[in-house]
Amino acid sequence: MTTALRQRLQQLGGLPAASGGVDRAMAADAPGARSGRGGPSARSWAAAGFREETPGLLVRRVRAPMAAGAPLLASTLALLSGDPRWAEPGEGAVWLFDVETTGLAGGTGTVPFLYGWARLDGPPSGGGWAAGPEAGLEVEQWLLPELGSEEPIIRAAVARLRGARGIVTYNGRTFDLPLVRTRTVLARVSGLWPDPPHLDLLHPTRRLFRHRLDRCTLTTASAVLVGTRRGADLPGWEVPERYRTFLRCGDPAVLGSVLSHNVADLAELGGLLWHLASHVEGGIGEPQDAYPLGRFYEARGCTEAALRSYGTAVVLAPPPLDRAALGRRARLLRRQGRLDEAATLWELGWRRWEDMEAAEALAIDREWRGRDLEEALALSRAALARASGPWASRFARRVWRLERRLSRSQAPEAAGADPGRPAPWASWLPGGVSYEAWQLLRQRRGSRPRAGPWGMGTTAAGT
Amino acid sequence: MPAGIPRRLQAGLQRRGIRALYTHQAEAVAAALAGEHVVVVTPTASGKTLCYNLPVLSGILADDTARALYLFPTKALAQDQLHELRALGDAADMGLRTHTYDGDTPPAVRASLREAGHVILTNPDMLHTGVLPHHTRWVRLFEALRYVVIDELHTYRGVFGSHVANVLRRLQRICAFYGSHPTFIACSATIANPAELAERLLGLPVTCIAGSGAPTPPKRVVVWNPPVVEASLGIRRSAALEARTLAPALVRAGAQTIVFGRTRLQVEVLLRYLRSGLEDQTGPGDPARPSAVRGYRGGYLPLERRAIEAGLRDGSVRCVVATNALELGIDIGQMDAAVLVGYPGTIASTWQQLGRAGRRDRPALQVLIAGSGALDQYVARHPEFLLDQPPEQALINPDNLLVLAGHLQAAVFELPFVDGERFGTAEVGELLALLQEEGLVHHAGGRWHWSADAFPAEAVSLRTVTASNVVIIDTSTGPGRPSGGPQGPSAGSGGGRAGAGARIVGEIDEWAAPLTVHDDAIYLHQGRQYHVERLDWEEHRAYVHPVAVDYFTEAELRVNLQVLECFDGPEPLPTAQVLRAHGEVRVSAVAAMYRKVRFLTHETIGSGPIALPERDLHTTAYWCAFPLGASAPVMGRALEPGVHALGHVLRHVACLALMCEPRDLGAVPQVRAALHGLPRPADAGAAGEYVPGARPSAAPAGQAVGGAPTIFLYDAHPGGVGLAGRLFLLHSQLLAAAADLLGDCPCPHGCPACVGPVAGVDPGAKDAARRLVALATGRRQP
Repeated sequence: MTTALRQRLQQLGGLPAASGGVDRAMAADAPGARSGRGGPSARSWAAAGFREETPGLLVRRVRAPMAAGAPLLASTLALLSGDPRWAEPGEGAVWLFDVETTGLAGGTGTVPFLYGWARLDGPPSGGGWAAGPEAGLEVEQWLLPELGSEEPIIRAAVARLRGARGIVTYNGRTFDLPLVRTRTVLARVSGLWPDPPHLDLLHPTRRLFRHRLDRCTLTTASAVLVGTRRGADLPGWEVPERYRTFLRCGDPAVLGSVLSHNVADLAELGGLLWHLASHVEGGIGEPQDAYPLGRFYEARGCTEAALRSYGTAVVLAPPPLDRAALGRRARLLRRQGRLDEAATLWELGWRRWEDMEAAEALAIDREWRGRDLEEALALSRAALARASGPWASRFARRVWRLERRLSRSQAPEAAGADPGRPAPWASWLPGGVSYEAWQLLRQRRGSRPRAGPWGMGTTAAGT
Repeated sequence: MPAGIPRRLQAGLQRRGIRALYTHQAEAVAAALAGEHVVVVTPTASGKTLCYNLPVLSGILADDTARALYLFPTKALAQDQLHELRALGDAADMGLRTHTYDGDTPPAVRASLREAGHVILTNPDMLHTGVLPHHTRWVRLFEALRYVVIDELHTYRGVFGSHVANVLRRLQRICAFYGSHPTFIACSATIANPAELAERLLGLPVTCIAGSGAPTPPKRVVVWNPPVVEASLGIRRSAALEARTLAPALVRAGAQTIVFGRTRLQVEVLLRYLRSGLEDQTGPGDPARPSAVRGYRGGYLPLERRAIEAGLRDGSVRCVVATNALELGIDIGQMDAAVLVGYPGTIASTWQQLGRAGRRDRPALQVLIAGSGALDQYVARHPEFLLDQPPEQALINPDNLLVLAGHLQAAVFELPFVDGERFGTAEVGELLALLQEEGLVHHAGGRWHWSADAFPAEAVSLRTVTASNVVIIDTSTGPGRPSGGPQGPSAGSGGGRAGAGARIVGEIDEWAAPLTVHDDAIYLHQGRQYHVERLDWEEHRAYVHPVAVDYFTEAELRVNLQVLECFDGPEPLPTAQVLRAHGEVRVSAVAAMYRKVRFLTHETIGSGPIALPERDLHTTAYWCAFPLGASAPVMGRALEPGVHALGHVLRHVACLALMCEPRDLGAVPQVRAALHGLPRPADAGAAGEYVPGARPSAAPAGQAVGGAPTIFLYDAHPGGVGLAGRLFLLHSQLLAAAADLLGDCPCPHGCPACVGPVAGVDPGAKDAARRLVALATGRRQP
């Protein structure tokens, strides 16, 4: 019936000329092709491991191996997510959550067809959350048996989210949850959208480990950080196609690899959760992890922990992270009013790397806190000799100011010119620096100072 | 002041100096408040904004959750109207929450606009990809959408209009899903069929309110035909040169003047002419100094445009040279004089542009300077065409298969289709089944669901990319030679981009380029000859250098047209020796060879091949055929030039009638179109494809062997936008207009203003065309 239409559309360029309704052929050839209406039988569902637990909701339960560590503390989850609601007392389980969808485009035409949940129990009296009583993860999978019969699954999902103590996802904040929310609107399921505490592991993973990951996908992160290895797994981009095949042929068996893909995702999600938790609870994995960990703590307001991590990084981290950590640690100390410690660090920074920021901070410290103008001047002169770009003019100005301050305090009557009057060349020297400073700059660059507008003699004699 | 406008809004109006409404405003507001879909047809500057702002704001004052959506064809217009709307909202002190929603809207504003914006100002493109596919985020808007305003309705015609009609179908499906039934208020410039266009766009019955109650100042319309400079060839003085004399005189006389050019290039050239015209005679303090003349066209920066608009309003800019970018409703105040350099192509545009001149208290001057083309000359000789004729029809075809298929996918993506559901007026069951075969949708439980991993709205662009121009670069003036010239660092950089010193001579559109700037062509530009070294088809660049030779080149476009299916006809007309038909065709065009023609003698002195790819177009066409039995004896040897000449004439007359650009419509005259458009033998298969080149023996008795002279006019967009069907209906008027054009042209043997380019036209062509038309119309020749 569609042949003529297909031909016209192809002629207009609206369909690729090669397309010949491949899907139609595939659907007919597929094993167990859907005959008439009615969908798969209870037997084929059972064979795939699904039971209709409540009307319209197909559930499959399965255990997944996962090496969990010590129970998770509420405070750790609060720290990882940045959401203080995690630390508040509350009822209910924490769920790991991951959906499989008909596509990655988002919007109203993308349907989540497999909802994967893994329950973390707890907290047992004062302890933290743990995976089930035995080792491993208890996974629960809900399957959408047919497009258009979403209502039971959406109602169940909303109820679960509403009752949850919290949920843990990977990229769920921008992908999984908005999709589920879109489905509730489309299914006209009324009521407020539940908003349980949500820990999206993508964000802490990216902040803490971006330097070690070439891609921030769950599988990459898990492989690099936890050391998991996926066997012959279905690549994620093939998932939508598998579901379409299922829709056409109606045999749940074709979804086998999708189901195990989802279980593997949840297991990796769990493994990554424990890894991140132990990482932020104090374990520093590798030398280069200390600096991002310090930044993470600093962003979350954990100053002491941040100082500790930066301290480790100054000593252990490879360049340039050590130097960056020094700057961050010293600034943090200064904000805390711990100026002695900060000054020690600046000194280290200046000596080890001739760091300009350190030299400036140190000069300020010597001038105002130590009241040692000469050392401040010496430092500034040394820094000026090494400075370039904007730092050069900043130090030149500092040198000029310190010189005047010194000459005033030592022998106010001996100063030839009125120190209050700007030097005559101030207007044409860059940034209004002193003649000495300017000469210093020139010498360092290996060129003689050019004559000023009034000739060399007059200006030199002036000071 | 119609009943139903809250007191607070009335007070706000008074604060803005409005005490009473014009009749058309009152009518429109009353109809909209009564829930009727309205289309308001008014000239520029008649206060159309109030026609929609008043009902919308009244609705929001009555119910704070009510929402409205405004659609403007461009972002700039939305900005313009945002200020207007805010000013009125502030005057009424109603806490109006409104903003534009387009690519420039900051993310934070977007979120709050979705949740709480009373009025969203956007454009069809944004609605198409940014709003509708994410409608669940816009629940607040769609649940309470009370009004949808469509401004500048007349711009939604042709392919663009066909797309927008489908976007509106999608909008209405989504509104129905959320239980809202918005009232549509559309505003249009004067066109012949505003109500029909609105009804096609919306798929809903509308109330049309035409005729402005606003006072119209006295105005004088002048159609200026430049003098003939070369009588035998029918060449007239250039319209741009006439404008160069006229516009500075107007400016010096103190009249604020707007000059409309047809292209961006022409605007820039005119701007230079005008400035130099004012330079000699004005001092620095003079209001008519050259710097008070500004250009305005697409490609200027937004800030620059705003400054020019402001300068026009406060009078510091005395003259602006603009493209049709200033034709739409951007507020620049009213000018004293409008000068159109060349006929803009449609009556509606002409009045929109002329209408920019005319203040309430002063008489206005509106001048149209005709160019030398056929359209322009027809208008110049028939000013009544402009004054008495209703303006053109705006045509759309929302059911164009290509357009429909794209939007149907987007619509399924947004909401599943129920079995038997129509998409607007279109029956789409079969198309959905096809999409299922392609694996894009899935049928289950009596519904069609989107099931592919794709975002279909992104695959559809509402504005088909206007054919990009080929840039013509003079390589003699600097680097930028096509292949590694002495200064060129590499062949790649030389071919890819014009060097700093290379001069761009001009531009030419993609369709004309194979004919005029193919390799070894002689390209003429403002009287200078250039030899084309190379046409880089991929990069759209032609490299030329000036030469002086005694010949020009003429390329031959081989156009092949094949009828695939005949929708209506072929139908003999009772009084005339002609048949009309329309249907689906395939047009393939290739520039195959060129000839070198010597100036003055017009003898062919050489030829060469052109190697450019063939282009294929599937579209709809209208055709009229002259049965040979009737025409051959009449015509004799002049038949061929006559058919070609008539093809040229018909194409231009058709553009006049259809409100389309000449590039929207193609003409293929065929001297022996094998049986096209002739009654089909009964046994040739009922609904099957009509096979061109069918056996001559199958022809009905009385038909000569070898076919009939036929003129095809085809829609230049894939699938067609409804031009062909309309031409089929207008057939008699077309031929009558063609007869007028041929009869009125004073040239002896044909000129650019009637039968086409002078070179190569057979001296007998014009006469032959006249005889063909006489046959067709049954009229006697004068």
